[in-house]
Amino acid sequence: MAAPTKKAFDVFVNKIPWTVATKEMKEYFAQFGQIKRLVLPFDRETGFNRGFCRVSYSTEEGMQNALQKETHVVEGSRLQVQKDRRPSVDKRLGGERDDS
Amino acid sequence: MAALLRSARLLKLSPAALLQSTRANTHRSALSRLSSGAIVGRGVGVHATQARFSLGVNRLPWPFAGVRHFGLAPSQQGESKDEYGSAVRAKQAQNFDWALSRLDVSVRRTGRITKTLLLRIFHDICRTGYPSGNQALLLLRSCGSLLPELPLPERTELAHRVWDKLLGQAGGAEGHYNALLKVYLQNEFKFSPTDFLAKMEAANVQPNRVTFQRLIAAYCQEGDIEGASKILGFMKSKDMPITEAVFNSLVNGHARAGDMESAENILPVMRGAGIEPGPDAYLALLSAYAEKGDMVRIRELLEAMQKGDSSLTDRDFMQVLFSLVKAGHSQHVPEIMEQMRNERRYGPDAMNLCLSLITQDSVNLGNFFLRHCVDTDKPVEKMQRYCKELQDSSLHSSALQFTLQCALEARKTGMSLQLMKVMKEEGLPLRPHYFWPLLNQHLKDKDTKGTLEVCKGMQELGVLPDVDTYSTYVLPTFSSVESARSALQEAGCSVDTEEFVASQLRAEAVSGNLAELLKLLSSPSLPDVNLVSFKWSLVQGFRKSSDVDSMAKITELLYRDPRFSQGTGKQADNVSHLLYNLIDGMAEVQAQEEKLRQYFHKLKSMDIGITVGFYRGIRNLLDSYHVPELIKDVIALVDAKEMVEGSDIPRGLMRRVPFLEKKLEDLKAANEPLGPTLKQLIAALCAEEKLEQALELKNQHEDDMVVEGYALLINLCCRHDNMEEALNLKRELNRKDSSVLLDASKYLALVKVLSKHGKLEEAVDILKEMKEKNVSVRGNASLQFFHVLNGPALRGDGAAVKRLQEAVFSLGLAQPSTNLCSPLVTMHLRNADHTSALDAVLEYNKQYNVLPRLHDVLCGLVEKGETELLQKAMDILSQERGEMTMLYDLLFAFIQTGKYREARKIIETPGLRARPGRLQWFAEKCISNNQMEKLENLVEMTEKLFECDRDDLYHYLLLLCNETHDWRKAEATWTRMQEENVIPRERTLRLLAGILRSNGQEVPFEVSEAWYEEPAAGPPVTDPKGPGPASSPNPADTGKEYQLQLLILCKKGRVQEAYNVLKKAEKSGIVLGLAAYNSLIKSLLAEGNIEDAMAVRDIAAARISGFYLSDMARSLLIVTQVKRGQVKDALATLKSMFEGDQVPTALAVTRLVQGLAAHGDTEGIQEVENAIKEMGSPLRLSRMLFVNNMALARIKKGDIEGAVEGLEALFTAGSEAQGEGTQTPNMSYLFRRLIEEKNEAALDKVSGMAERLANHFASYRPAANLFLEYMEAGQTDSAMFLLQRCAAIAEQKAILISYVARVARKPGQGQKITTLLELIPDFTEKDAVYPHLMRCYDQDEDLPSAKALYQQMQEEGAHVDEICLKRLAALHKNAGEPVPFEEPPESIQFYIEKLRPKNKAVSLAEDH
Repeated sequence: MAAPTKKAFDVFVNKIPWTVATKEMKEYFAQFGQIKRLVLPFDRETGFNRGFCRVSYSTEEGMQNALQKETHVVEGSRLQVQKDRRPSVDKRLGGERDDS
Repeated sequence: MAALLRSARLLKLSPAALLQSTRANTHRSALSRLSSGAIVGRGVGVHATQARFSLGVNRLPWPFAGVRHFGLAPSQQGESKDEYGSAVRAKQAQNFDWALSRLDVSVRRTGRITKTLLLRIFHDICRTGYPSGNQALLLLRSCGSLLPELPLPERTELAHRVWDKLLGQAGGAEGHYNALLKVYLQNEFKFSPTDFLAKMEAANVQPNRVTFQRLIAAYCQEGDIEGASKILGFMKSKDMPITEAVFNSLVNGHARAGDMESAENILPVMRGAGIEPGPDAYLALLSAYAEKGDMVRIRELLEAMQKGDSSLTDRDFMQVLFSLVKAGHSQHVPEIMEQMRNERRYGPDAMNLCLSLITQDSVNLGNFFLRHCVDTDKPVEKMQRYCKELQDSSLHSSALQFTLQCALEARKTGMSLQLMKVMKEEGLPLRPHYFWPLLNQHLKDKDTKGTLEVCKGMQELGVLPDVDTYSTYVLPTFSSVESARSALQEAGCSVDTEEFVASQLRAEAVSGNLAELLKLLSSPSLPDVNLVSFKWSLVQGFRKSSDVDSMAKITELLYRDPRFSQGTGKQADNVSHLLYNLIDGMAEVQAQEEKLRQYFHKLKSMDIGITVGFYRGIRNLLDSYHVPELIKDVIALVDAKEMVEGSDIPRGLMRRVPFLEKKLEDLKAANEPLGPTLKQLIAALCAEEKLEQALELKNQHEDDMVVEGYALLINLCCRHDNMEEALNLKRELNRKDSSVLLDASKYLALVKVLSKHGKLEEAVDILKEMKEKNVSVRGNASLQFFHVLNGPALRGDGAAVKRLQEAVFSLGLAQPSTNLCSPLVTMHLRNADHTSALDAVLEYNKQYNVLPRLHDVLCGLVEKGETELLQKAMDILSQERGEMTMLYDLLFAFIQTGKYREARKIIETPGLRARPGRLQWFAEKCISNNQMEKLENLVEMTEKLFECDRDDLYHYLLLLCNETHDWRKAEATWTRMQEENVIPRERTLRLLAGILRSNGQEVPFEVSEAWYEEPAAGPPVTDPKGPGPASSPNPADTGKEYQLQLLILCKKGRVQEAYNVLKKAEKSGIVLGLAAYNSLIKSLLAEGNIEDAMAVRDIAAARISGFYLSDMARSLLIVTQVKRGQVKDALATLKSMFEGDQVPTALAVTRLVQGLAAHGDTEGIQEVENAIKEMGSPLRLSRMLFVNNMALARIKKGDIEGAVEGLEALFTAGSEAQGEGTQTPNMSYLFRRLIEEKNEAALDKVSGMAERLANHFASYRPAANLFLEYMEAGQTDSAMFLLQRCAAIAEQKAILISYVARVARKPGQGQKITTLLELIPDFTEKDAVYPHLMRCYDQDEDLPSAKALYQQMQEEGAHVDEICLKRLAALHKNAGEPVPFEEPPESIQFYIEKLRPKNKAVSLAEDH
């Protein structure tokens, strides 16, 4: 196991269909590279997922692979995948539900 | 002709002509139900009139400007101008804008309006009581096809209600009648056109061409060609042009009459009349054939159109679809669908089409249809069938999932479970989180029954709840894990699953109940549970608990028991990761230092190890948390062998120890200097945390030790908590070289370790040494000292904190700051000792004028319900920092603790106004802590707060939305802003657009890009004498850029440059916008530059036809003209404003009247006065403006007699005529001007008049005013003479006291009051005067006079109130003298509050 590093390679995913949860997202995005962190946040008010999430890859390669694929279709919905432009301030969005 | 053209243009823009309109009235099949006279089988057609208009609208969904023009024209014609004042008109216009924008947003977004929205606006308009013709028009037009969710008869009924309510009495204008006709057509309302015309005639409204066109359309809708022909003939006789719209109607009419041949024949007739049939004519035909289901002819027509190079929009095709479906020919839908191109507005249009079809009982497709089915509780079997059909016809890719989503959103448990059953049967996957929306509702309601029902449903569907389902939704509904377990068991749900157990583990861990957790974990019956599923809860539990024993034992279990580490490889990784997570993000690692140390020791004794990789991570963490002392305890857990072999940690120093030892020996043998090598070896040992060895080495080679070696060793000793040795080393070093300097971090490490061992004085000595040797603290000094102070605070040693703080501050090593003062308060807060915390805060406030962690202390007090302490805090705060500050502190504490009701009350405190800085502070706190609810509440409750910048607050809310990528919330915020009618700033819009865009949403408005960036990026014209914008790096070459530059320059006050930009644009022949010209004119006027301003006006007038100056620009022009003495011009400007229905500012009018007076222009004043009266608007002009200035003007003209007569008449004749409420006229202004101008002759006369009025008519005010003006001007003698002549002045208490009060507000005016008292020695209200005098002395810090006054008051037996005493006491104190009387205990603010009602009562009593 490599030493934990602070560096992460993030993509931001949008337009996620309601039918998937973290598990399905992980299954899908793992094809591009090893995922360091992926949590699909759910709205505590509604019980539905929030429709977006951040995928942190362990390597730049994983990130690039994910970004290079032209269309991402999960459960019939076309995902919007883009480079995360947010400065990496707090990666623990929705961190309280981290167990899974 | 021109008039006709105009109305045609306007109509084209009419929003009611949106395409759905045409759809709604397309077909007659439903009409047999709606109208008695419908003839079945008459055939159908499109009402082409609307279709034509719809084209214009397609591209401009709701053209703002167009609507406005259309709206305004009839309303101005309809109502006589004098009926309403301009203010009322302004109010109406504002109201109209508001209503319009609400509707506009709805139409732009969805292409429709909901009934609720329309009714709300309708009621609002009724309530505000300013229904204008405009608004009626707007509402009327919305009652047609913009309401696809409403059945047709209901829409018409609504239109009639609007008509009756808003136009019932006044009656409508032609625009209203035409709009009503349109609504009738759209709603397929059956009416008699002849009756309609008769009604218009009775109301004396002339029908115009549009009216006739629509009446023809109405006849055609019924297939009544005969009726249509009659009107057509009439139009011809009136020489009205027959437009394409009429022909289109006729196509429709023939089709509806069943005569398709005639319908087709209209097209050649059109060509014969010189009108080429456009898409609308074809559309009329197409719809007619669609209703017949004649696809052959439709295909032919479409082909013909393509050849003819005209095409249909999606909207047009949808109309054809509508006709097809409504007539029951839905099998042809796919064929038409193929023709569609998915244009921009496709979605909303399709939805509206569906809505119309469903509302009018026809079938349809799409999400929205499914949602509607769910909303209306259609049986699941039916929905299943629909879904299958949709999917089979590839109209929906996931119809069932979508239906389920709707059912879940509507929280329909039964329907959802049924749908899921269907999905399962169809082989679609079911997932635990599908049930969360249902469970979530039950969780909120704490509805265990509902939860169990869902769980049972899950069991039946074969979906096992996962850990998250249990932990987040199921368990929290129950009072305890045990009750959940038994209830679930009873309900027949299995609970011995890994998931349930894991969630049980989570629950126990989070509650910090480690002993129980250990029991569970060590139970042999526990199934395999992966640590990953409860690791975060465990981390939380560890952080919370102080049960080190259980922590270590749990860790051991995780380390050794394979059940917890399936598939994750080495156990060491498992535990290493756990430790890393435990420390990462741990708040106050320092506070838990001892606990962690014990924990690590225990792990060591259990022989539990971690990997080197994680060691490095943990070490970095500990360093960053300022607890390097723990590193040595962690390093002990790393397997030594792995440490050396497995990696280069730490940084290759490991291997160097033996090497250096060897080298040292060699050097020693060779008798060479050891210094550098010795230092390196010590450094290497320090890196390995080998203190003993390093010390021994030092003892062996004491003579060869260098300063750096000592420094390293001291640091290591401190880290290992070896205080004695550290001190020894320090002393040794001093002996060697007392001048040597350690760096600040070493000194501070020493201070830390000393204070930790209670050696406070020694610690202070170190600090003193730092000061003496002038050791500069590198980097963030405040932060480093904070950790020095925080150490003892974390140990609960308050005395040490105070002592060190005092030393640090008094030595000047760091400035007292909120941060540096916070550790002690934090300590008390952690001990839940709010009394001490508050005391500490107040003490700090007294000593250093800082309030550390006040917010947290207040929150604590609020939470604990410590009302008394809270009261105390509030009293002191409002005394020290002012009431407003105190209220804000309290407000934030209430919001923070979720006591929104209380917070709201604070906001409602009368007189509270917005403090942007404070609001920003709290908003940013919410943003950084991701507290949406609190922020939302803040934004909501400040809505009515005085001077609150709403845009700012919404901007914060959007910032948080941006952080959390919550575009739904952002959109809701946007709606709320509109609801509140907030005018957003550019940056807010851009932020909102950014959120929507980056989340893949459409942005419902235009954002002008780079309004701020641009000037920042390319340096704009910086040199005023420079060559101008054209030669700047980014030469402006479009009107837009010129405009931008110009506006920026105007804003920055660089007017001349802006003017240059305009000239440049003018040279290039570029026309700028209205706003640009107007703001440049305003800016020029603000500088008094009339010539250039007028030049700009001329340019603008030449460029833009109908250009006019805005109200503000003209008002400014008036002021400038008056300033320059051009009163005649100013008067002309004002007149032109009135003519143009513009409203001047009060300032402009006042300046003009004064200017006229100075020129003696009585007629001018009279003119202005009349005009203002006519305007009938409350400009808030002083009533005396005209009276005083008229008198001045007369005096100026030399007509003193006339002036006096005019004034006197006002008092003598008017005294009865004036209603009771009005005050006696105040002539101070007149007197003041005369005194200033030293116009003795006039003064004599008016003074005589004042005396006369006082002595004969008992009107004392003029005399008193004059008297006071003399006083004010320092002409005490004149004042005295007047008083002698008119003794009653001395009895005008109210006037005199108010004068005294006014005078006392400004410093240095005490003299005036004393003079007044000297002039009127027996003034009866001295009691009332003295406090004001005291205030004067207080302001002037004149203690001797104040003392004398106090004595005098006591001698005269006057009551000395607390405010006076407070003021006097303060004066004494400031002068450093003891207070010779008992000072009232409360703050001065307190007494002012206390005495206020009394004052008010007194003044009221005086008034009556």
